[in-house]
Amino acid sequence: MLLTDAAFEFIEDLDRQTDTSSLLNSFQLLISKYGFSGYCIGDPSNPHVYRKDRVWGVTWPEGWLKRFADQRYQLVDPLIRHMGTTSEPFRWSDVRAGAGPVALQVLDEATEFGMNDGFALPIYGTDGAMIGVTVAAEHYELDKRDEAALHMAAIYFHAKFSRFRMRNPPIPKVSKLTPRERECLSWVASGKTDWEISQILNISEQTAHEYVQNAITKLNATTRAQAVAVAMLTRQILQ
Amino acid sequence: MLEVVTRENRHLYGDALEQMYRLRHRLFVEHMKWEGLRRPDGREIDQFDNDDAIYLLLRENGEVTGSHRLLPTTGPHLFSEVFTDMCEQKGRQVGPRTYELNRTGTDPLLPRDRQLQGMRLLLVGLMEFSYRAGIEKLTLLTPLHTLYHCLMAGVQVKPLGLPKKMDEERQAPVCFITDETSLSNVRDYFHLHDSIVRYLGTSAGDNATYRIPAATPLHVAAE
Repeated sequence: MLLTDAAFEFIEDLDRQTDTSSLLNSFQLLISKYGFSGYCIGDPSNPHVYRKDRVWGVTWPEGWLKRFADQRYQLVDPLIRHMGTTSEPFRWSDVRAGAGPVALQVLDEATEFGMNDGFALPIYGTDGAMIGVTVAAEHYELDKRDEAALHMAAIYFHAKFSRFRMRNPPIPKVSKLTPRERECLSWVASGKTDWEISQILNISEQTAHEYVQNAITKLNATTRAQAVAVAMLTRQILQ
Repeated sequence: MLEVVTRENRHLYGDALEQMYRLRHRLFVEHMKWEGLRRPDGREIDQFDNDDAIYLLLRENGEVTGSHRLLPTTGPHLFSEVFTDMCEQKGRQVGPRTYELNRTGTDPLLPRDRQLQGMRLLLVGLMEFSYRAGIEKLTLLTPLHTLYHCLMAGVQVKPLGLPKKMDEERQAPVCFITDETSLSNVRDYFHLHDSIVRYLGTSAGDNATYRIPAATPLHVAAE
């Protein structure tokens, strides 16, 4: 009963959370009461599609995060795969039965970092894809009531986090553009071609092209349109 | 548009209510498999479909495509008669300004995008109706994915008890706070800022606003 109360208190306190860091701290405090050491919140849908902002918040050990990224384990992690197929919460150990050797290896390697078991809480997202929260522990014991309470807390947590993100979309970390690159990209944003930019700024067409290409590279973009979008988002050119 | 049906104007909605009973049978019995509600005449109707119920009917070109039912919590309702042990954590919420929401949904025969648009209109219209009617709280049993969507849309939702597995779905007893904040949040979220609720067929004309009996009189309420 006390654990259930803790989940309801977490939900009631959400009104008082004004930023993501206090929200994340409050969730970490809640799961520690349930015997979990860390959590991961985000969007695991379509793991084969590369996206930078899949993980919104995570408190796994650094070593595990690095290995997971280096080995691209998101492609073979059986937890991510299972999470995409169910809206039922499940215990990590329950996916072992259907997992192949590579998938089992991911689970086994996680135990080196004290993550022997965990509880995954999928959520049916607004666009139909499964999103969710997962929590890890060396060992844990929860009854059905505690699981249900944690499930509901995770849904509130995820929705609150999403609303914070809607208000303040995450700003990509990219290199700073030079004044000339900003100037050229601003003209791209106005629909100008390299030749038109060269006429406006009284430079050669080749030079204008290079400024724009440099800007695209610095902003990790592949197209001119994407570079404009990133430059606006990172407030390097005016919207 | 969402049309409000109360004891005052339900005589004008005989056909529409019949359409609603059939829609509810298609949705809850044939689509969601709540076999306990099955009836040979293909109408999903029960003892709570009486003069105390308030309906919000989503109508497109005269056809009912979705609906809500609201029951006063001062009388018999599902939490008091059927799901009596659901709100174990916070207790049942009852009072003259608290209504129970149930039998919510859109026609399962509609294409998916029209169902989604219907659900948006039902949610925004529900918030508009409740706030303007003087309802402060709506209690309901909601599937967890709907709970997530309502939270995302900015409805203020308080949990009343733990989610429970019912049929195939996990459902949680919750309470919507139907104040101005919830209304403006959902309007912003769905970009639907115009009024979409109509209360027709009363002596007040076509611009009437339904007020629940216990509502603060309009000239006192801060509208």
